[in-house]
Amino acid sequence: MSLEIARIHINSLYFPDQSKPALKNINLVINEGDFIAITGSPASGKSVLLHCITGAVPKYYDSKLNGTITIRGLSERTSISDNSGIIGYMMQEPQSQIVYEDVYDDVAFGPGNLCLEKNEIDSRVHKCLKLVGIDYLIHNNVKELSGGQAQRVVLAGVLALGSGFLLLDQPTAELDPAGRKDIYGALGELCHDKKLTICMIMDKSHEVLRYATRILEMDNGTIINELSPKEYLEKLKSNKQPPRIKKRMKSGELHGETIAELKGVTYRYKNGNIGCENIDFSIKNGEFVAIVGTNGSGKTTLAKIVDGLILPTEGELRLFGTTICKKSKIKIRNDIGFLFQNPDNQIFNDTLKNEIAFSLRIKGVTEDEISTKTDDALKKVGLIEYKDAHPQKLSRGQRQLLAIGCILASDCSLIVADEPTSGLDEFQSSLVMDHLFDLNQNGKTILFISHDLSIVRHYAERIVVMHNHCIILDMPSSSLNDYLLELKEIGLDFEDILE
Amino acid sequence: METEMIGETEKYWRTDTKALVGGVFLGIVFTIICVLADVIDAVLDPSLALLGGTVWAIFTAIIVMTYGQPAGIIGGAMQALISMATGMSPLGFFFIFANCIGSVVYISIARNLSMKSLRDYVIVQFITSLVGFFFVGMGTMIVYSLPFNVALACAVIGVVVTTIVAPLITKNVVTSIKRSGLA
Amino acid sequence: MSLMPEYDKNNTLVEFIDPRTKALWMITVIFLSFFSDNILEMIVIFLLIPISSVLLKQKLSNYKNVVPILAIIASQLIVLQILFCRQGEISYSWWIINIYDQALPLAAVGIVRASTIVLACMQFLSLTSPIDMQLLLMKFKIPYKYATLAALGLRFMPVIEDEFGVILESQRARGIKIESVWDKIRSLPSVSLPLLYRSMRWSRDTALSMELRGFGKYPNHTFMKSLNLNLWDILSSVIMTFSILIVIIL
Repeated sequence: MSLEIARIHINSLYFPDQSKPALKNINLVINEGDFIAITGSPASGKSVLLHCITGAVPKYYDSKLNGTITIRGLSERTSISDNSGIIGYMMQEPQSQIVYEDVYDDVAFGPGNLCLEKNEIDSRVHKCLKLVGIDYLIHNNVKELSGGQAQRVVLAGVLALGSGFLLLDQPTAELDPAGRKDIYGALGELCHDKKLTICMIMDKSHEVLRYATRILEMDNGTIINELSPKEYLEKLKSNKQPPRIKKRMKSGELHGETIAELKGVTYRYKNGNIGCENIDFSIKNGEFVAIVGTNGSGKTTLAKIVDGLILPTEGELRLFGTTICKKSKIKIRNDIGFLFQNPDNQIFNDTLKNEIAFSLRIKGVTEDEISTKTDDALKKVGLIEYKDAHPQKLSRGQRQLLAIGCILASDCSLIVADEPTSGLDEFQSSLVMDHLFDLNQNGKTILFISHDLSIVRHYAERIVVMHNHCIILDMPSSSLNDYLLELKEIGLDFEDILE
Repeated sequence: METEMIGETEKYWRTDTKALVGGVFLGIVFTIICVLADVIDAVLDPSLALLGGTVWAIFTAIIVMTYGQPAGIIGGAMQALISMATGMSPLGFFFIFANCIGSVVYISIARNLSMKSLRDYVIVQFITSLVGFFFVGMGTMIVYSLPFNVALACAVIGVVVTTIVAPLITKNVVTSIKRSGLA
Repeated sequence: MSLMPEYDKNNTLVEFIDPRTKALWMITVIFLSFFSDNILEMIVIFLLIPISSVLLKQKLSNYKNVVPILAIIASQLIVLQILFCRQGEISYSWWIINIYDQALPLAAVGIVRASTIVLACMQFLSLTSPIDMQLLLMKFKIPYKYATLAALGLRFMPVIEDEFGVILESQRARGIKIESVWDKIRSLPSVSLPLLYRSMRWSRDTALSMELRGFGKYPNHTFMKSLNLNLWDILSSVIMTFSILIVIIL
């Protein structure tokens, strides 16, 4: 019989200024060796539940908790640091969890805080880096590491504390497919070989289903269902939506005239590095195009050139029939919206309506029209009830929808989206992509970059593949299956786990 | 571990990790925005550093109103040392005093006021600016060998501008931070 | 362009020197520049920095980022001294402007002193790793909890700088102009507030992560490295302290 690691009993949890409880009627027992994946709609309470287990709620986030949380028989903990050695916690962004630049120093940070002997710390550092498969990076600077490697450093640091119970909040949300596979592989092995107990929030990748032992579904602050991975997989398969089918235009054609054209375009950075090379690419009015490729293949550079954010160092760029130079780009770019990976890099106003109004003022919209357009945009993205709320209080997915709302209000013809679903879970990703699809159905041209190959498969009608700064494939998504092997060879695995 | 609790003392004296780390991060943001302001000042008002001074005033207030002390001292010291070490200002040594003592003065007065009206922010800013520009004035005389009357004139202009411009911006930003729930 | 000079951990010569010696060197150089009014002496003191960098096998290009900034400060100082200096005799007069003969020498002294302070601090940062900085502060009885913040600052400065670059790009993509000086002033809220909120979110996550890794659980911390003064450190510290004392007495 497995050892009981945690017993969570929550009657209710309220945050200030909220009438609805964030969590209610939670009764959960976690046993040694469990690999629990938690899924649910946005704001269903997944992260809040993890924070309750860590003790961050109520100590870090002002709240009223009615219930008890017992970890390894202990229910009273005076501070969060009391949980170190018992619980290991990992978040989405590896950057915010790495304290020292040197990999060795960072992994040694946790055991050093526990005042262990030097020999013991050294032994743990070496052991944990080996466990996660990056012992060869032991004295590297974290700046030199990829996202997956950095997240593995964080994992090693957490394991070095000797806690056998890991809580992971979408640990691979910001990683590319290769990075995700690394992390889940390492976690699966640890759970199986070292009897580690893991409780994590599922991101949009279904990779975790290979390793999980229990799936918890949450909604409205409570656990509504517990399934085995097989049952969950079956449920996903039965609910699986077919790829979106594009409506034809009134003319009977799918697309209009060419709105962006690149001929022999090359971009070189100031330090001599190549961004993209010899690109011949065009996009027609009304298309929904995905650009895919491994890290450093030139996708973002291409997107920025199409947006007019940067001008090519060689070759010709034409947008809306005009050859783009420094003078003309400012005028043309009013018709192009760019959705960045992280909406927090753009949002700064104190209410949602002010944020959208700001976007409209930049475009020169009159004050009379601003109020109507703002409300319209907020209704379309489903955020009208949060009109006067502070954007920073929204979830990440909602903030991304706000960014979409800003673009919507500006009525741009071409929308370029760089990893619009990065950091979002499955539901939030679907919301964002559904909005982009609806925009496309209403005549907008969409060009998006994504590492999430399942999303590309599901939404894009045309896929452009980049590798080593060049376009190597440009095909309709219906032809994707003919190229799966070639794509896998360059690191793009379009295999759908549901298949 | 002391956290933000009931009572004015606890609100303005916080040694929990969240406040200390917050002070570090806001100190870095302070530094970066100061760099931007200094670039603008170099073109618009060389040697007066009016925009830089305004940024100083705003961030000294924001850090201490959000995270209390010792975060105010930590953030201020961070900005001073980084600006010295990166060449953004050779007066960095005097900024240590301007920033740290300035933030102590700010919070010492703020805790005795409601800090709800603009008038409260103006009063606190005026006194803080007097202290801050005193040290900066000393710095310009010692490091740059500027005459006393020039240093005094620059300091007076700095106090006036920061007292007029900074309080409204500070109040709006502090209110927005409180509403955001990030603090 | 990164503001912070980078620490080169592959430089074994630098690793050999105790950070207390490095700090004392920085203080000595700055102190000597404050106590000297002779321009030739000050130039010699200033040159100690690049010479010592070369001897320690550091690249002089580490200091190149600061040259334009010092050039701007220098030009401002020259203008201020020309307009407001009242020391010495009037060497040139035009309209209401009287230029005194001590204006340029004083400007030169100010420029060299400012440059010395800046380069000395840059050198110290480029010679001292974040862990050494932490250990150095703890040697001066700063509690471990606060000493760690110095290392944290050095770690996150380039990260937040990079993030600022991304924010500038994002806001430009949105249509906000950040070209002329007036554009830059108008765009200050739209570039600084996202950075502020982003950093606050980051700081919350970092603090939580640190606490869950035991930070603050005990008043002490086991470091894998310890500071030990070797003979060279003691000798050079004695010489530097002696120099400071002589200057004070004389």
